[in-house]
Amino acid sequence: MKIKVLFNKNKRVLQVPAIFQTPHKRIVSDFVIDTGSPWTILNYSDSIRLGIPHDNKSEIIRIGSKTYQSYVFNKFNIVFKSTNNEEIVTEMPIRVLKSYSSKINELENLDRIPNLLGIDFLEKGFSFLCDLSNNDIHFQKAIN
Amino acid sequence: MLTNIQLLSFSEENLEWFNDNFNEIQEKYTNRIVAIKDKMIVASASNINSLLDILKEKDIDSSEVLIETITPKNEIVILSRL
Repeated sequence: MKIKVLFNKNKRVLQVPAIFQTPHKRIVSDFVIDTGSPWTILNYSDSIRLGIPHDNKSEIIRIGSKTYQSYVFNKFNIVFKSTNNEEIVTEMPIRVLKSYSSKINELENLDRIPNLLGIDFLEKGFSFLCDLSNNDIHFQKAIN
Repeated sequence: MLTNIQLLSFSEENLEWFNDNFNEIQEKYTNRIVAIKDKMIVASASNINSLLDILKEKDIDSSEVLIETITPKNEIVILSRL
């Protein structure tokens, strides 16, 4: 099963639409693919939309020169659409970043960090093909 | 209520529309957070809480819109964990 990935030529990032589901809510959103990130990160805005509690402390994460406290949330499903219009549901923990400061500019900086699909996603059995010159970019998962 | 597949199909169309029109959107909404539905910007604000308030006032379901942050021109975001 293939999941189509989009190349945003302006932002120069690879994006994939997804639905995020908790036991209580679902929202539509998208990920930026970041194989340099060891974990999948849910951005602050989407954690607010989902009402995810920020109470289970995990690693301290640095992005650029900023340091954030991360909070892990386990009851999380990511839903993708395959190129055959089938649902592909992956259950995996996500991390939410919070600033140490509640200053407005710090919160606005948090809003700028997109959802990041990290290397832990590939550990779920997905292979990743990225052929920019032929605009063929996709994840693939073997059907069990 | 839309199925997940319907929602993802709309979302993919909205994301493609956003990417195709990014330069114009960036001119108008730089440094703001925007909500996209039906290939339109339906709300914008300077932060997520204000945006959610506006969507509620407009009676738009915030769970079914795509939300994107508009970075200024000539600003790129490089994301890597140090």
